[in-house]
Amino acid sequence: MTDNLDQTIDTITQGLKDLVVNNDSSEHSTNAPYIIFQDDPNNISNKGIVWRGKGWGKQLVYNKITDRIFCSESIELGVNKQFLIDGVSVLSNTELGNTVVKSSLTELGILKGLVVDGSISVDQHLHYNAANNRLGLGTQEPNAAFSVFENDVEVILGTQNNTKGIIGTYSNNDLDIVTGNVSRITLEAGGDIRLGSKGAGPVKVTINGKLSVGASSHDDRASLHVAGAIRFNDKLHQYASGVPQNGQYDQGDIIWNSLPRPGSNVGWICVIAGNPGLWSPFGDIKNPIT
Amino acid sequence: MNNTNIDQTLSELNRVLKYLVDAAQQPISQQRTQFLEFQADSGKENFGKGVIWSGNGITKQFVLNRDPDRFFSSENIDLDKNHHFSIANNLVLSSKELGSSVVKSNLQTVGRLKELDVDGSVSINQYLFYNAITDRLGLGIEEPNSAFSVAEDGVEVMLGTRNHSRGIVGTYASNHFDIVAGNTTWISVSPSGNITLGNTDHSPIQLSVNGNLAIKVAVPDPNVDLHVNGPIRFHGHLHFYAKEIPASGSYNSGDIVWNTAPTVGNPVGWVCTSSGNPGRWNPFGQITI
Repeated sequence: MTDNLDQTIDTITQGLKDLVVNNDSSEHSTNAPYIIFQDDPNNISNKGIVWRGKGWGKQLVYNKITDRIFCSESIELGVNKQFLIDGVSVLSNTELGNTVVKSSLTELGILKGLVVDGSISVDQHLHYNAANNRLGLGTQEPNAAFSVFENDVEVILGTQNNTKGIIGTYSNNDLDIVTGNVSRITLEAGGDIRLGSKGAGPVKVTINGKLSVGASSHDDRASLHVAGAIRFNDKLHQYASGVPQNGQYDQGDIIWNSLPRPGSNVGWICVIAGNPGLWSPFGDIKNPIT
Repeated sequence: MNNTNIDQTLSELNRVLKYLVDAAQQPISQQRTQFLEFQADSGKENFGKGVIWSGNGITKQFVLNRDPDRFFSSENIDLDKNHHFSIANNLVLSSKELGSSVVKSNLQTVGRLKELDVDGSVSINQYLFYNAITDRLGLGIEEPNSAFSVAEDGVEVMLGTRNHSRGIVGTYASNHFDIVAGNTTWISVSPSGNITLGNTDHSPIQLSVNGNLAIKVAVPDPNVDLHVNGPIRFHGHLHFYAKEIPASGSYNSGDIVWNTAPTVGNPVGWVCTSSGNPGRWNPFGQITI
């Protein structure tokens, strides 16, 4: 009888223990809507779910001090599932939520497009300033809509006003216009202009139009209108009412008579160089043809 | 079995029964004062266990998985308002921002950026290239030959500097370079350096020099407005200097040779009175005393 009693008690005890163990197990089916971790209402910290086995325990527990639920492992969602905050998706497998507008990302993928409302800085070298709509390469404060600042020289491309575009240097530097990477036209800082390069062979300059030099208004009858004296083949041609009283002149220099009249001559020519040299008249002017 | 064992057994039974009774008295929830613990057998791992929500449809679960160790949630995870996801107490994602520690992404679209700051190189549409090593910007060219280059129609146009005192604009290879106004070329520079001012397709231009003009002169004479090193031609007639009339060469009637060594009793020059090679020449402008 004692043996039967022992057996009976053992059986009942084991059955009840199984009930208790099963009650603790996740496999236990319950209609209870929540698992509530509650001890002292003022001490709900460090309570949650723990997986204990080989190695470190895995846990999902609440910590009151930091007021957060701590998860010891990565969280993997099912296919097409998302992380949400307040019912709004913030991260899915393919995208960040629309409400996430701020980041410190330093790497992006290959963008399909890029729209920037404000300023842009690339490599601290290329600057687009949204305040003045200027783009500077090598300068943060370009002096034109687009500027290249290199070798301490600023080259500008932009407009002067509502009617004028400009290209050139901003500060006191020359500008070369090149073809084949060789200088062809040089605008010197002081304004002097050189057509053709000193180092290269002579170039041909063709003008489809009229050229005036020093003339305030061009005489349309003349293709070349020079206000002052000219020199060609290194000989001087100038106008005056008489021979010069001083100045260095060379043989062959010519002074055209600015007040010609019958009986005088059309000009004077320097026959011996000097200061002013010796001058002889040439080209007797006869009486007018009637 | 002695009495002590019976008492112990009964005591154990009472404890278990009391637990069951307590548990049964919780009608709406499982209330715990300790961890909900999934215990593996000694020395074994504890994967595949966790919380299961079963009912109609697919079972919902939050369980521990392996490789790597992670919790698997079959459902979305939704945080309450103003809460965020963090890793090691560091915010990585809130409803408004990615944490500052999140620096790498493979994003292909971004919103309308308020500003953009890039440390390295930039490539846009495989057409606009900024090279952070050379600090050069190329439009249509990946390796520009100046600080800024536009490559279009096989022509590279440069805008940059030559050295510390000189800016440049023009073509890199053997191509013409035109300077335009009103989208019409008015100055054209050929690859060999020849320059055309004006445009034959349009009315003749007025070219003005506010200063002195020197042609092939090493040291221009500041006292003259036009200094030409060699001969000149105007109204179709050649003017040049020589000591005497030409012995050869083709000349036209009206061409003039100015006497480069004039003396009294000699002419100031000679005029071609019949075209030919060298043509017929007559003296004019007798120099008198």
